[in-house]
Amino acid sequence: MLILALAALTLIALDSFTSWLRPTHGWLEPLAQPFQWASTLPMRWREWNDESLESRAVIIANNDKLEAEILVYKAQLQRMAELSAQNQQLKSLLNGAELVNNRVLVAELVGISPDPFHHVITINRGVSDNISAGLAVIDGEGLMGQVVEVFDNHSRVLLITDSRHALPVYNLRNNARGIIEGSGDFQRLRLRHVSPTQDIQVGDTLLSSGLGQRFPSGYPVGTVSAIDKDPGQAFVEVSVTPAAKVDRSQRLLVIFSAVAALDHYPQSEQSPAPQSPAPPSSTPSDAPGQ
Amino acid sequence: MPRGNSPLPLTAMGLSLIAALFLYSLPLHGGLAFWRPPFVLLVTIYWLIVQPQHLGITFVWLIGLLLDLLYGNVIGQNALAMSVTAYLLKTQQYHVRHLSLPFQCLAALFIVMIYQTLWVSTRLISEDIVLGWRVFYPALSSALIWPLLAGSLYKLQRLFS
Repeated sequence: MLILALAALTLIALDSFTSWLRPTHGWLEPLAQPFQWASTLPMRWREWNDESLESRAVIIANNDKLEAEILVYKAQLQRMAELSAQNQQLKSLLNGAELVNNRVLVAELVGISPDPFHHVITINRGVSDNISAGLAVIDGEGLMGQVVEVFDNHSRVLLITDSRHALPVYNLRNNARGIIEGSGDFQRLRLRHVSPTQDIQVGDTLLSSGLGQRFPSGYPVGTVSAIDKDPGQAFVEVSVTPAAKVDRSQRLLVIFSAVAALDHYPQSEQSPAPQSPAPPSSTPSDAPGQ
Repeated sequence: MPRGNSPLPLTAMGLSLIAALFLYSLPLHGGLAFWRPPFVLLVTIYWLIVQPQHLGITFVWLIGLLLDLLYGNVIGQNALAMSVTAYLLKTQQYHVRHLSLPFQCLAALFIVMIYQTLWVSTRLISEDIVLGWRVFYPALSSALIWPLLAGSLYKLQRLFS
């Protein structure tokens, strides 16, 4: 018994404080797959329900609505092209770095960590899709998290709501910078070290600032939901609601080239922007059923 | 609980462990996830108590290690917590085997409390966990689910022996 306990303690110590046992994490990964898959069954069932039990008329109406939406987005995108060109020109006038045009890859959620203290999900893209640790993951609404472990055909993503996660953000209204931290609760993030005199209001939008050289800048992270000023405390307690549907989104986007581009940040003024390895093109339509 | 003089019911054990892993993987919404009983621990200690001549603490330790490897935890956390819990239970096994069902539930409550305490303390080495009473929620849910679990494991064992 003592030997077993000591062996376990040694393993814990080795795995916590060194990276020697890292490779073993991948060994049993294929074995965990069926269980990971099982963990998404309720979601799949609901989706199947939505897809196959809908009446024809509803589907046609939905399709029309989506087409209209696409048209609106396309129109907005045309404006975007002009705006981003203008922005680039202005930035080059100011001797700024080039705007990085981020490449994205559609990924599907294939597993959720059963551990209530860990907000970790598994996505169906891995080494074979050029995924590497550190890439940012977003959903349609905002920043979701970052890739922390990569396997052959899937990878683990640490969500921004995990209590081990923190990222630099800035306030859209007044550009005040801050660090946002996960709280272990899917609906809440914490803005740390906000002094009582700082200008912050409920409803402020916080965007990723890209200062940590990990996340691309400008993606919505959350909105301030509550400010708790306690005169006895040195800092104000600021609660933030995440913009992304952290516990609900099933289709996610992995953002490429942000990390690679930032690595080359100092040279980007002389040489053209470095090209990241081209991810295989993927469409949302090939994602389900894999 | 049945007397364990029969050979090791490997099929029943395998099936029950797979079912436990499956139940452990099922997603629970938000705060409900804190109420999930440690199914793998419960199933493992059931077999440990029922088959004392075949299974020992090493078996529990190995299952714990498997669990850590499967879910990418820090390796050894579950192995340590599960084996120490199983050891404490094993010292009392002659009492535990003769408990009536309500007392078995109470035993499950205490066992899972011990397990959660050990597990959370090993995790505090490397992680920042927000402590609170929710650490012990699984103990309550385990006590509630134990009659059902023990009953179905007993049926399963009968089915394959």
